[in-house]
Amino acid sequence: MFEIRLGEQGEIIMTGRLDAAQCDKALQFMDRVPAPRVVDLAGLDYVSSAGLGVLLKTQKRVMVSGQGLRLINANKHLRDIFKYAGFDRIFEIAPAGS
Amino acid sequence: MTKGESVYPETMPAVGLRAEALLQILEVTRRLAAPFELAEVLAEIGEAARSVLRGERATVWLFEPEQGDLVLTGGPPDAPPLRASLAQGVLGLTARSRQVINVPDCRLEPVFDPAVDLDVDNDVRCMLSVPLVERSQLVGVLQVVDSENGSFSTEDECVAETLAAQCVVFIQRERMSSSLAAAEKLDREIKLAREIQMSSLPSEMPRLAGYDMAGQFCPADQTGGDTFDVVTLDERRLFLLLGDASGHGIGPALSATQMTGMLRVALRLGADLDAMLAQVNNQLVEDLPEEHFVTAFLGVLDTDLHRVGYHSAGQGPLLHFQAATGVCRWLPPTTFPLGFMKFPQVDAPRQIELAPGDILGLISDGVFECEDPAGQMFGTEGVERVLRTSHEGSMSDLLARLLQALHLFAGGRPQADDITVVLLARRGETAGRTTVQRYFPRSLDSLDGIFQFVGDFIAARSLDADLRMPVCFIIEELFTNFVKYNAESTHDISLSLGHTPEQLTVCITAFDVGSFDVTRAPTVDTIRPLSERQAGGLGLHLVQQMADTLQYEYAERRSTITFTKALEAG
Repeated sequence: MFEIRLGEQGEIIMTGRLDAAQCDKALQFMDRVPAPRVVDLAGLDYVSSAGLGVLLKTQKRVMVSGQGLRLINANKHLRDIFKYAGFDRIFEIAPAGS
Repeated sequence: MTKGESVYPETMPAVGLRAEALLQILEVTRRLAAPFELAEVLAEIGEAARSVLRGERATVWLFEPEQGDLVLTGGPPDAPPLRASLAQGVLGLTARSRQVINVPDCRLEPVFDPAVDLDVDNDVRCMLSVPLVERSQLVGVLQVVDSENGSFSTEDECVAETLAAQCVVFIQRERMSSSLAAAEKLDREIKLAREIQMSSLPSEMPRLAGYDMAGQFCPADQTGGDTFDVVTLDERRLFLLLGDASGHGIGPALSATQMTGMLRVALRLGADLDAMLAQVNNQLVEDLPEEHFVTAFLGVLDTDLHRVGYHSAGQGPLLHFQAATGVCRWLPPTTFPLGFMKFPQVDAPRQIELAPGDILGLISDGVFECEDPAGQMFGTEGVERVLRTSHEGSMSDLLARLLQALHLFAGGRPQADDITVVLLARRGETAGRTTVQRYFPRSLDSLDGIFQFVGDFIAARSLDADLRMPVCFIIEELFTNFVKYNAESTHDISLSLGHTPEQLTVCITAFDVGSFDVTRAPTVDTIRPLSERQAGGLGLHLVQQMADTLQYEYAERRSTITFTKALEAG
């Protein structure tokens, strides 16, 4: 189960499991947000490489305006994946609870 | 009796016959209606013809289509029947022309041949030769000689034709009932041979600690020579046999039974597999007709070593289902069938190692060659389809499902050959098996089920819960790769999970796919700036990073990827 929506502060909220079967849904949502800034991952249990691809494409799009995504509240599994993928170098990543 | 008193006026020929002749023909008809041997029928016809036509002698020749000649039986008991070709005498001319031939003076008839027209004493004066014909097929020839009136009249010709038409019916009836009786006798004999064959099968499967077995023999109606046997040798060894004797009818059933008997004696004498194979083969070479042979699997299971040593003489393919990978290995025979020729040498038995959950399947060709209404064979694929969904249950359940699948596949066609299946499974070593395996359709929609499968496995065995996400991540990457890059394959993908105290082992197998070695996937430079980063390739790069070990195997269009993750002690 994967859900994606906008929060009250304009942040993007992802919950559930972002796997290969859900990445089209995620990317379509992200593409409709003109200038996404914060992605709250507190409710996201899992991300696969296909999910990473969604974040990467969105980051490339928004970096044109000079301001990238901030990934907040990622759990340990997500942070490990981000680290292995080198996302800590190209995203601003804040740990859970920050 | 006058004409008006006849009880069968409608059967009278158009040409007026004398009432006496008609009565005699009716009497012959009545007498021939009682069951007779063919020889008696012919004698009765001859006597009737002689009497009705007032001749001195009458003979009935029968046409034998296979030899293409006419044969006369009814001589002395030890004498061979007389034979005449269709080229000889008035007899042959009658057969060829299918016309009544009335010879008023045999001395003046150039076609007359004393040898076949039976003028032994050279004193036959006249002859009436009548073809016996049914639906334009020649059945025989009736000949009457020497009318007491000096020669045969036109009316006699008519009487003879009428009598002949009746006789043909009874000759054919007798011939048909003879062949029917022969067929019934054969049926009874086949049934008896079947009963002997069935009685040599084990009445129940032995129980062995750590193993589960099932076996069944389903005979076809008429043909087939399957057999199987399971004999406990001692507390840890079990002898296994599956055999199939070639040919049709009673022979194969008896050959199969003979082989089972010989093997049981060999077992009692303590013979090993090599000696059994050689000696039974030598005996069958001597006993079997030249064109016959027996295919046979002879194996011994050692339940301590979890190993089956075997010879397979023309019997195959043998099934070895490997639970750890979900892969079916199909093993070929190790030598040629029994009964062909003596073996120049007997190689050492082959070995099959049975891991927990593995299944050994001895399956006769009646299963593989079972055809659907379109003529497609069930094949090894059909067996694999059943195994995928049913290998975790009992072997008797798997066997029942296999037979049911065969029945449905055949779509009502009658069983053409014997069907025999013996299944032997090594069970898991602990209460909860250390290895579980399941197939998933090649679709991203399977991901939910895969996550559930992995989560349940880890939870049920109280393994480190933190492993769940990385293990799911690796599996998803490998699974989606198989889905994306092998669209032409229709086979489900096998996923098996196993563990020891030290590590978790995951095995993913895709069938009917091209080779792609994931361990050699190009690495991704993860320190490049964003503008140079691509989403593609990242998944396999991460798999290589996250798995403790990663192995790739490719054989027979089958890709198997195995990875491990260490488990923390305690």
